[in-house]
Parts: sequence; C-alpha cells; structure tokens
Amino acid sequence: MQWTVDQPSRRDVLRGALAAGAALTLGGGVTACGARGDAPRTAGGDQWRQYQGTTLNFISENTAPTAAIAADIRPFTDLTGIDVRIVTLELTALVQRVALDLASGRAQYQVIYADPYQVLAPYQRGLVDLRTLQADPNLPDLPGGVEDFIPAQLDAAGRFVDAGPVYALPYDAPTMIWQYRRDLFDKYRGRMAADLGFDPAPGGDRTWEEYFRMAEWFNKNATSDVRYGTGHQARQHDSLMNDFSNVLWSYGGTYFDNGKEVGRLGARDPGPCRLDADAAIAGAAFYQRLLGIADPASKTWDWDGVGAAFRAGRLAMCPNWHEFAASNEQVLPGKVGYAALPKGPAGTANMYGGTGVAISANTLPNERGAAWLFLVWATSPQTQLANLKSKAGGGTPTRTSVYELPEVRAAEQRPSQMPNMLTAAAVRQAWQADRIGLRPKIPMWNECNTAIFTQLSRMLTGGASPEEAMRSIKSRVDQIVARGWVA
Amino acid sequence: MSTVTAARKAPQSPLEATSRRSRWLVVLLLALALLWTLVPLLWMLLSSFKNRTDVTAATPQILFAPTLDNYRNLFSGPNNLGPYIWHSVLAAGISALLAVCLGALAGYGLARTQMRGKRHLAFWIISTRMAPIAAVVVPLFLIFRGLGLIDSIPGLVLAYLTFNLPFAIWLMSAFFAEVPASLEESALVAGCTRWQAFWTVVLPLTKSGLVTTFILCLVFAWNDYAFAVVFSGPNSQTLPIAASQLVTQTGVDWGQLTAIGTIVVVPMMLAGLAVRRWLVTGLTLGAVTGE
Repeated sequence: MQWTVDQPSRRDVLRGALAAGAALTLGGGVTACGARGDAPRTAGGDQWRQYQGTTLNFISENTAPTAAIAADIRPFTDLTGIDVRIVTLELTALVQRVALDLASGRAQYQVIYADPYQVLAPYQRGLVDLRTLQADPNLPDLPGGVEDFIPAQLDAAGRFVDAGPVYALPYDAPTMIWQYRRDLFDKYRGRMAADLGFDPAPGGDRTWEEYFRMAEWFNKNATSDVRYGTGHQARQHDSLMNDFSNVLWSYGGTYFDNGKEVGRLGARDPGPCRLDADAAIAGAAFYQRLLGIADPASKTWDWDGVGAAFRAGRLAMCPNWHEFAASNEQVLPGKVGYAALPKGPAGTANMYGGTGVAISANTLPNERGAAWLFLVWATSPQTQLANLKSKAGGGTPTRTSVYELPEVRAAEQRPSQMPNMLTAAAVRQAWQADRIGLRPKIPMWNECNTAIFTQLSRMLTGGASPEEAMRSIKSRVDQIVARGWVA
Repeated sequence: MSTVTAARKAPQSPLEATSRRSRWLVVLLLALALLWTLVPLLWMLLSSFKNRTDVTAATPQILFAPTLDNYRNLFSGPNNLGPYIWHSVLAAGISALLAVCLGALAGYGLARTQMRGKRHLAFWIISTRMAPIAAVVVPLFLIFRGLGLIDSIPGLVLAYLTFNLPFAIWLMSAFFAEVPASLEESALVAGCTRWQAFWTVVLPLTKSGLVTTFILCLVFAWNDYAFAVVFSGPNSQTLPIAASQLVTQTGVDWGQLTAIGTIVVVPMMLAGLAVRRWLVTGLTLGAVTGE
C-alpha cells in the first residue's frame, strides 16, 4: 500500500519555514521576557538577611574548598536565608558552560569559579568589578579588606591588565612544590651526600641539576624502596606545561617579554613569544634530559597520575601541587616532606594554579548583592579556617590573617589536623614575588597552552629536538596572539 | 569389527581438518571478544567494592576485603546521587518514549509514502545525526535559553530528541518497509480506517523494532554527557555529570567513579537482557534492510 503526496512548491516550503521560525522566535521572546525576575530584597534591617529567599547558583571546578563549602553550606543559609546550589564540573566543561552563560546575557550562574587563564582573562568583561560592591554601604565589607589576601594571589587570580579593578577574590591556591619521601631521604642521606658530594636535603637552595643527580642516585641505589627517583606530570595535557614551566623559568626562559608582569596582571597583547631564546632552549634541553631518567610512565601522567604513583610508593620525589599533601598524609603518614622547587641558573619558580570566585555581570541588582554576600562569606577567614579543618575538603587559605592564627601555625607541624598546612613553609616561600611562577594571563592562553604542551610532548617522545620544539611553539603562539581575541 | 575400527581411525580429510581449525578459530575469537567486553565491566564492578588503598594499589588486587563504602558515600552527604538518578530516568525514559512514538509515525509515513525526493528526505533525516555535537551546541543553547528550557527536564528531553528522533525514524521506517503492504490492504478492505490498520495490524508486527528502537534510544540518552553538560543545571543534572564531578582538582575518586559506572551500566544491561529476544530480532532485521 502506498500513498502519493503532492509535491510542495519551493515557495510553500520557504513560507512554512519562515512561519515556523517566526513562531519560535516569538515564543522564545515571550518566554524570555516573562521568565525571569530579580531576587527579592528587604530594605533596612540586617544587611546579611536582606536577600533572604534568594537562590544562587555557583558553578565551580571540583576543588577542595568547594567540596568543603558544599558539605557545610548550612551556616551561610542560616546567616542569610539564601539557598546556594553548587554545580561542580571538570574545568574544560566549566569554561564551556561559563562562556555560554556569559554570552547569553542572562546569568544562570551568579557566582563563577573564575580560573584566571581560562575565564578571567578571556571573559573579564562578563564579570563584575567587585570594588563597586565593596563600596556599597548597603552591603557588608570584606573582613580585613582586599589587603588581607596574599598580594601576588590577588593580582594573579583577581585582576586583569589594570591594577585597579578586582574581578575575583582568591579562593584556592594550589602551587607546585617539591614532594619527597622524607623517610628515604633520612635513610640514605649519608650515603647520598658521600656519593654526590653535596647535602641532599631538599629545599629551594638545591639546583635542578642536583635534583637530576639525586633522582639518578635513587634509580641506581634504592630500587628496593622505590622504582624511580623522580616522576612528572608530563602527559600531553595542561599538566605538562605546568611541569615544564618551572624549569623554563628557572633557566631564565620566558613565554613573553616582561613575563612576570604578563603573569601577574596579564596582558591583552603580550607581544612576540620568546621561547626561541637560548635560555628557553637550555631549559627545554634540561627538561628533556630530566624526563629521560624519570619514571617512563611520566609521559602518561597528569597531576593525578603522578600523585597516585607517588602515594603508591613508586617514586622518591616529584614536583606536584601542594594540595596533594592531604592525600599523601592519608596513605604515607609522616613519610612525606615538602620543599620549594629547586633553582636553576636564573633563579627559581613554583607554578601557581590558584583561582578566584567572581560574580557574573549578567546578574540583576539584587542577585548581585546576594552573590556578594556569598563571596564575602566563602572567602572569609572563618570559612577558610573551617575549610582547612573540613574532612570533605581541605584546600589552603588565601588570606594572610588565616596563616597567622595560632591553631593554623600549630598545624604546620606533625601531628597535624590540617595536613595541607604541612606544606605551609614551602608555599610561603613559593608565593614570594620573586619565586612565584605565573603563566601568561592572556585571553588566548587556552589555545597557546595546547600548542605548548603538544610540542613539548613531541619533544619528549623524540619527535623534535628541544630547539625545534621551542621554535615551533613560538611560531604557533605568535600566530595565535596576532589573531587577537574578541569576547 | 576390524573394518569398523579401521574406518574410525581413517585419517581426516583436509576439508574436515580445515573445518575443525575454523571452529577453533571462531571459538578463540569469540573468547577474545568476550574477554574484551567482560573484563572492563568485571574490573569496574570489583573496583567499586574496593577501599581507597586497594583501588589505587600499584599491583592490582584480585583478593581484597570488599566494602560498600563507595556506594554508601554516593548516597550520603552533599553528593547524594538520588536526584541524578531520577533526572536520568526521567530525561532518558521520556525522550526514548517520545522518540519511539514519533519515530514510528514518521517512519511509517516514510516507508509507505511515495513522493519525489523521498530518498533525499530520508537521507536528510539521518544526516542530522552526523553533525558533531559541538557544532550544534551553541545555537541550541541560545534557542533553549530563549525558550526557558535550560536546566530543566523538558529541555534535556528535547535535546535528546534531537539526536534520538532521526535515528528512530530511520530505524522504524526500515522495520515498516519489511511489513507486506498487502496486510494493510486486507485490513482496509475489512473496514479498518488507515489509523486502525496501522495501530492494530502493522504496529504489532513491528514489536521487535519498537523495542529495539526504544532500548537504543534509551541507552544513547542515558549515557549522554555532551548535551547534559551544557543544558542541565542544578535542577536537572544526570548520572554522567555526577561521574564527571568525581574528577577533582586533586585527584580522581576511582572507587566512587567505578560505583557510579556500575550504577549507570547495570540498568541498561538488565533492560537489554529483559528484551533480548526482540532486541536480537530487531537488530538483525534492521541490519539487512534499509530505505
């Protein structure tokens, strides 16, 4: 059985499509117009309760402080009457969602976890200058003001190009440090010193060359305890750029001219890439040599992989984010030591990976006020201290005043109820202005980063010499930067 | 007697030897395919019962003290998995049901209608599945945002329909094409309306097709991450999103991740097993037909 249908004319088809499109647009417009109102506000009375009944959406990477806040959001709800719903996503997915949300003109997410390189730099125009809220007499002040935040972190995570506006408040502060098996260093210290001709105690005074020799020593002399002296997060991934940059900077290499400033405040047009300089090539050559004696699985690991291998007792030492201390202490209690990364011919650098929390510029006035209350609470000294103690999270404070609290000071020594604080001495050194490692904060960094870790990976797998890899990255990055950025 | 024995011990012909070798080869390939399929599932299941130390041990642990902690943690505290499961059930179930209903109607029309450009129309329908999701996410997001469908179950249902419906139409039209038109003609002669002929005669004959299409659409929607990550929100997050949330800045919680994996896989496996009779018929029928 078959039916025959009269052929519609082209004009009929176009007319139908136009009508459907118009109906959808009209329907969408009507829905859009009527779908959203601002949050309620009760003027006068308690500043903290003026937005009670509001619901805020907070989008975040699944970080230690967010886990801690999600586990204990009750104090904020009790204080303000505001309900906070937290959506956690892996960073790439978060960036995609935030970009769409900011572009749509309406804030589904009022509070945003603003990675400085993937959210703040490219989408800074979509974020509120928090100084306007800090200055609003109807809203509570930041306890201690913005001055209480660690200065390098406030600039790196909160500002972009201009030293005035603050778009995000420092929220977490993972920083790469030297993590080592303290028990093995204690066990072999004498032998190592005799064999190597220097005191092998890890610390910022050691050089990368000495790190190399220590790793090689473990490879040869301690195989009953560990399989390799060192391991790295050298997978073709953001982690590889992080791991490499520590070496690059300490050898005097830099991604762009005026690298410290481009890292700290950022730039819209950083100028030509400088990875073809001799110092950068020397750093790349050393990194290639270091990976040659590292655990071969390093080329498959990101920070999680190297962290898991270290905890499994496979490695004597590794550079990794300091917030892995909490999980290290669970598996290897008392056996791990932490120090600032070694230095190179030009100094030392410890990659900083901190992030801020920001407010979407698409928020309506009352939503914005409610979001400010959440920011003030979430970054307050009390909350940062609670996060440190939280079993669900951990993280590390971004405020100077928290590090000065007696119970936090006490937690820097074992036995510690706040295991991440065991790294405090190392990260305090790492956060000094001349030691902190800040990747370029430019709007097109995400694409540059892909070019960097792709070519580095080629170098590590024998597909390119250090010089070829550095020149290839420079060429690609120059193209990307020349194209500019429109957001 | 001796003749019989001699006959039994007669050497195999080359044909028999080849046949036996082929059989062994088939058995070997099947065993490999089975291992390839089952070992990851078994590994996931075992890992979901391991504690944090065992699950990341450098030497894989086969014998270990099983624990339900990973499952317990999934359903307690701030990361309660309950709402995610409910959202997945609603979004995947409703979208699969709608895809089958609409796909059956459109597929029937496509199979039975004669019109110029029918083959182009059929190809256009299935070609909408060929576009990479990344290419359609932005326009869809803006449309959904305009319609107020972001972070809602209806939004997810609609999103899943965009990739399930073309598939359902295509598949169902192949099943309907297999049903002899004379059966409907007989029904019409017997006094049925066109709808009654479709409903009472054709549809029951394509039960395996309906089940196959429903299960496949359900699985596609159930496992979707790409659409859910863009269109869902605090009120509508699904199971694959919950799994991605276990990838944290300071590590992956492999125990809970494998527990979620088990929770995601088991219902689909059970559904597949429950309807395997129709599924096999439907898949083999669909495999040899096509408009």
